[in-house]
Amino acid sequence: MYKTKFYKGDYLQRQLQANADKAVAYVEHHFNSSASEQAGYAVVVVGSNASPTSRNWGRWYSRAIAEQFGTKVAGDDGILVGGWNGRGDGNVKHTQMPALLLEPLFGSNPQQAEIIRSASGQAALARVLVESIRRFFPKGGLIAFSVGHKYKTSSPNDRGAMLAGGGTEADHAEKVLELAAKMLDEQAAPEPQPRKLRVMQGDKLLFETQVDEDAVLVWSSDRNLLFIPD
Amino acid sequence: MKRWTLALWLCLAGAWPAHAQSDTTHLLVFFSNARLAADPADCTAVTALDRHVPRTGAVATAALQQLFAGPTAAEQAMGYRSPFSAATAGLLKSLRVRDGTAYVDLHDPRAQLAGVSSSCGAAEFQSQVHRTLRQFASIQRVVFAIEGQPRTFYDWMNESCGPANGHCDARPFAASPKPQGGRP
Repeated sequence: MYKTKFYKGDYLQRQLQANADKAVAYVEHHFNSSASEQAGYAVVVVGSNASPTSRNWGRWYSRAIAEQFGTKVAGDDGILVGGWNGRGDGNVKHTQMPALLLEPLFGSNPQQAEIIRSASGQAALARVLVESIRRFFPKGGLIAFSVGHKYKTSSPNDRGAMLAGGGTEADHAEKVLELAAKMLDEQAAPEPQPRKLRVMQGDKLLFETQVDEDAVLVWSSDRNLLFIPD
Repeated sequence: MKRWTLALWLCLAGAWPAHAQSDTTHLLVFFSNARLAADPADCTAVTALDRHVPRTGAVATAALQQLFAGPTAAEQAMGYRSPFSAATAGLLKSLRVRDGTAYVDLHDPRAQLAGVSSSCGAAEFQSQVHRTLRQFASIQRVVFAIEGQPRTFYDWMNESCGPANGHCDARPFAASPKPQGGRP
């Protein structure tokens, strides 16, 4: 049902490639950082040209993260449209599909950095992301993943901020996305539902039968009959 | 009574350096302080602190140098925070003010200030620099570069090149071989 692909190169190249691949959703994962160890809220950057789907998806994700980790959301109910002062806008605004730049936790906050480093924290972050994707893109499709800072052609050594206590933002964002990709890839395709013909009176089911997927149903008003021609 | 009055006068006089006005320049630097901010989650909120430096006409340069040295230990104990610290004290490569725009050229800060490319980190960085420079009436806008290259700075900050940053034009930075300062 879902496929995932990691995009590398500079941010514009990643978005253009995801467009060419006709991805249905684009996710770039970062962590936030502050000079204050206490800062710790969830926020998502959406493009200045973000669709209602992007905005709703971003808000849902931020709220779910805040609920999961007992924090708050920042920005406009969890999203920064166009980023802060334009920062981050270029990371997502060139996509032709809904796109988010995630900043779920602060790597500068020692408690949150511990969560980011832990296997259970990474799994929880991945679960929230996967649930958001399933909720907003239930039909499946290609999900484009981009690891913030890492694999940029123009700055190959960039790893983003250092986490309090050790590690880098980018390496841990990559772990979360890898987990999310595994969860999405492993999701069993739904059982095909047989096509059924039902006769209802209000909410009451009077008659039900299975018909072929390609059967053509024709109503004859002369004969007062619904039939399948030979 | 006269002796007490004289003693009090001498004490007060001793508390105020006789040459304070002539030998030093008073500046403000702006740091974050969540304890004083109306919204502790507002990464753009900054609070002013006083700095007195040896008398200079290059006040904007002096203010940035003070800012880039970060808050003192005593100020940190009072809740002041900044991406800047003693490790970034030499961050300023040059500053040129022209037509209301401050062109701030930095020595490559990306290793020391990796966190400022996040949304909150960027807000802290830019708010502190902007407010510190905009205390001077001659400065309305700030454009940054790393080693003379604005595109390097704005790529690092994940910001597009556009009218707000002079379309990442490097020419204004090339003409500033040594630090200068705006004169408010």
